Amino acid sequence: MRIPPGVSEADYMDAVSQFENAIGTDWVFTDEADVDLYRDAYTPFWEEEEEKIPSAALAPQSVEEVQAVVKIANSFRIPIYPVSTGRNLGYGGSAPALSGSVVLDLKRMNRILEVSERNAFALVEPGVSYFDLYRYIQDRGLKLWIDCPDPGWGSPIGNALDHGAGFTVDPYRDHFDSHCGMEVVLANGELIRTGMGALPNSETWQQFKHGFGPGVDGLFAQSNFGVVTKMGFWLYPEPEAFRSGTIMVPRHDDVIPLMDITSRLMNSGIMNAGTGLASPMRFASVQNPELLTMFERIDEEGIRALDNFAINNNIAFWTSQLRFYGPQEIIDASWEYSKRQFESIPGVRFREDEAFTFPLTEQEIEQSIDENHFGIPSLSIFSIGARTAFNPEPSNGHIWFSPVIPMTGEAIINSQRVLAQAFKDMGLDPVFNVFPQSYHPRTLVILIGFPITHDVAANRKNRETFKTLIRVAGENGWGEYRTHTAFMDDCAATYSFNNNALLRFHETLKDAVDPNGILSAGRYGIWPRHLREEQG
Amino acid sequence: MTNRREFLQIGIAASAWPIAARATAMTAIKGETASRSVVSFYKAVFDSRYQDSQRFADQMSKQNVPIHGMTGDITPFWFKELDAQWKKEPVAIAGMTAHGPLFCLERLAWDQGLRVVYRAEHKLHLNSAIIEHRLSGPQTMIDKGRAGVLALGGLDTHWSTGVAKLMMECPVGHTAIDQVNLMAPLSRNSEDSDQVDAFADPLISWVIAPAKKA
Repeated sequence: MRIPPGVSEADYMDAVSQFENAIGTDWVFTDEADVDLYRDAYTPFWEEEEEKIPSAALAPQSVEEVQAVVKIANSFRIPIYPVSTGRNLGYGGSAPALSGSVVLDLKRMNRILEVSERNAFALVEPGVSYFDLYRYIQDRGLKLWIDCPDPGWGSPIGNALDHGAGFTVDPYRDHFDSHCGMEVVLANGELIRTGMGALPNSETWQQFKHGFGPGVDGLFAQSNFGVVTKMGFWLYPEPEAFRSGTIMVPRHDDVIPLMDITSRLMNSGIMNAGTGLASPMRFASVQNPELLTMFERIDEEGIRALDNFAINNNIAFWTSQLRFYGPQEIIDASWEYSKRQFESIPGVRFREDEAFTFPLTEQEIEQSIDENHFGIPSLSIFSIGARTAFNPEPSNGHIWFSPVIPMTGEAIINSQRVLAQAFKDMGLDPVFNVFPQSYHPRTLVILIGFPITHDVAANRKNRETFKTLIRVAGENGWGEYRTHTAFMDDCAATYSFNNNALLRFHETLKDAVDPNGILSAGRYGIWPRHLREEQG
Repeated sequence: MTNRREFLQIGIAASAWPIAARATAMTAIKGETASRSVVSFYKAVFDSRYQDSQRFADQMSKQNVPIHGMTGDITPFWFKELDAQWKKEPVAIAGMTAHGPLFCLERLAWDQGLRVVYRAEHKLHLNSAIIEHRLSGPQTMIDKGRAGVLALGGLDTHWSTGVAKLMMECPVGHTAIDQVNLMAPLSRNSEDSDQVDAFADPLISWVIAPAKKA
């Protein structure tokens, strides 16, 4: 039996007995075979001692059981690590940030408490998955959409609290932004409700975000100040139609006006979704070594050579896919208006992409390029890691390096140059490893996947590379929006304005609301006092 | 055009031998003896893109196990059928698929008290006519696998047919767990095998069945 750090075996056995009394013996897991299920399937510490491993797991079914468990943990100073569905793969999964913590598995708290079609919201527990909520809505024929990440087996609460995002429309695709109201169990077992939820019998808990006085919801995202047991989400009323179209520009520097216009359309609400940014030229270079070499030269002559290659081979240098949701006449007009804005770019071309009216038929769902654009959860992404010509040696998972950059062409060019150079300085080939995704409004996220392998030396090298990139990105003003537990301290260190004032503020809050430091120690770089003192 | 999924496909892959493989191997209760009964399967899942997987399904069908074909995406089967079934009653399923579907089903199964109790990776060795079968599962199945190595990958019986037969020997309940690597020649019809394609995903055969808390 593994014992949590800082706890005597006698105290731990006593605590386990009390956990069993509180939630039932069946839901307290101490045997290695059961607890190992909570290890990170994508751990970058495969077969290394540094792997973060839980000591036990608890699976309460109700808020009252969560409160009981938290009080017991607090009395014995046992570190606990809440997870919702535990599927945060690529960012640590269900494994704790502090090895030896007891996982608090909230998967059994899987009730959908309310879905209002009239006011377009849902109130759910942490164990509810996107699939669960989607099924609930479909089974009742409600004209509502969820917005889900890819894959969709995670928890709306878990994903939102980690600042996850999806692929439909603003504001729903920023999952934390589209939440409204929380219920939280604090480290002392006390229960609070945020926003209008603090008003007993409130009729607007899931409609008015602010409540009265200081808003505290953000304190429970990417943090360790409480255990969220309920959360409200705004849902998108099913639109009438969808259409998409791609803007194609021929030259390297065209990305600047491309992004400026795209950004303006997004910020003014003409285009109400994220953009699908791509570079067919970059894609072509993956299988063309000569072209790949050409990309290494980024002076004026080099760019001219690339432009000539693109034009001579009829390959668009950059593309931006625009997506419109809403009444047919409005989205048709929005698309026509949008195209006119891009006509100022010489050589611009347009392509009509998918168009649908809703609800979709089964055949349309199957034929759709990306069902996530319609709030349909899927697991199909797990088939893309298969062995292919691009990927002859499949890895055992991945971790994501994901810094945020401005939504400008200059930022795209500069970040590609800087990060590509960083890879080169480390003797690595960046290839496609530097490319931005439109995850949250007004910004882009560079998404670089690091493979996890069974090769300890390779994993160590990847971790060092990851840490170097965190530092390089930070030096250039590009902070991570989310990261694996293995790198939370490194990322937190980059947010160092005014001698790490923000982190010190977080620590002050931590010491106040969780003086025994039992909740998710180390998550997002926030360590409880006793462990900070140990670390010196 | 590079769409979002194409972009992600470049360089990213899901895991092949997750930690759960080790956990499954440790699921055996020390000292418990094997039950004499064998697992009854709700369905066998196969990937219709791979002839080897299709052969596996054909044999399972001959063995009166209902089959379900898919082309890499397990979502429809799980969401439309298996999820509701598992919530009603945790039933055993078998399959021969690429890694992705098993990765998903394994984790979804945990939520309903099921575990992968048998798994085997079937990997072609390039430039040879050999298939390596890495089996992990109940002792009785491993012993039969060892004994029938020629049948598992022999000259007259396709290995995937042999795997389907072996699965019908999967015992119910916790049993001693063993692992073995078997090298076997491809069948005479090896030119039909998907494994001849160097970029074909190795196939994994597996059994997911109810398992008690350890």
